[in-house]
Amino acid sequence: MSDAAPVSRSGARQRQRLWLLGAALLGAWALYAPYREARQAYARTHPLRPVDVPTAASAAYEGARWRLLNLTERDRPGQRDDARVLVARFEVVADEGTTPRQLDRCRSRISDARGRVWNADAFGQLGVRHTLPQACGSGTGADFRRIEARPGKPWQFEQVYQVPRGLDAKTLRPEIFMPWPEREPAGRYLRFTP
Amino acid sequence: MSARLGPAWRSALWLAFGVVAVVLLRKAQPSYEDKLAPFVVRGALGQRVEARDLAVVVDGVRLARRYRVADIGDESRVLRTPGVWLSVVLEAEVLREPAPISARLHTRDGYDYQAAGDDRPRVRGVNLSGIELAPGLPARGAFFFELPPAQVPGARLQIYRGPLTPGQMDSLIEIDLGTGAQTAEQVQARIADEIDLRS
Repeated sequence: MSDAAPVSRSGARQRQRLWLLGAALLGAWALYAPYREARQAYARTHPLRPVDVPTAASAAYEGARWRLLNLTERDRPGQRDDARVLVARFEVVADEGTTPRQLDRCRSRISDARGRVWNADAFGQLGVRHTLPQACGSGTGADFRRIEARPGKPWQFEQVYQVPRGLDAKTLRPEIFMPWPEREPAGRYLRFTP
Repeated sequence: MSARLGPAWRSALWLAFGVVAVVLLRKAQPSYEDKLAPFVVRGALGQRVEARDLAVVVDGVRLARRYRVADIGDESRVLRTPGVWLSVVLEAEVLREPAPISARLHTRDGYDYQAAGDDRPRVRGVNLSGIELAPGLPARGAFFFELPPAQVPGARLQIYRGPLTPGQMDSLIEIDLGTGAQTAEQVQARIADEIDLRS
């Protein structure tokens, strides 16, 4: 026992330092990994990461090219005094292999600079008369036949939003989002900036 | 003192201290439900109460044995309850994202009474159950509850985003309805026989 070599204090500290550093890294990873997993799961069904697209420019997203044509105000009978109705017209050109059903998964909303958002009127509750289909890849034609977006051909559709009166339409940003994306990273969405 | 104790006793004392600390900490440990419980923001009648993504002003409370509501044409009908109807009139606004709001009454005995659905009573533009709110577009209306009269004293109104129960780790607004000091007799005296909801 007495012949044993004395333990080097600096060597022991070095070994403990590495062990502590490893424990700290593992602890940090144990916190971050579930957070990252939950965020990924959330991003599959919620817009998280915007891709800003200037108005009149187009952007590739989920197997198609998307463009905002215009954003206009539309009258609606019986509208509440403090609100107004905006209509965004979009054009989408599907890539080869992209089906109308895939495009129809799209959701739209509009946001302001403060991060507030308003969903598109998906079920016609606002009672606005439409001049274009509301779905991103299919609709009903004038003769009540089903019409669909074809690859390479421009398809126009419109989305309706009810926003508070007093908001400057030029500061509002219509958005397009695809839940359960097949080609894009989860959570990515298009935000058309004024 | 510690100088008189031998090393074995000192170790035993530290061990006992550690065991007691573990037991106490374990007893005080919050449950899984506590960890995920909503954050309660409390307020009173007439006061604007703002939570993470919801703001409300509750104007008042009314009690009634029955409601008179519109029926087909110019007819009316009576909506009864085995208990008592409690209605709260309020203005609500979501602050960031569109969402429906829900309400329930949390009683002194720990019971929760969920607000009646949008068809009980069906008063278009008034019953806020199931109505989706949007930022900057506040809605003014009422929530309606059916509960035993004995549960009214001390009941608190809870309002939250979403259609069912309060979201985990989300905000929950709790409003003191001012009935805490009332006796059962005083509550009975406040109950109107009928409230006409047609106008």
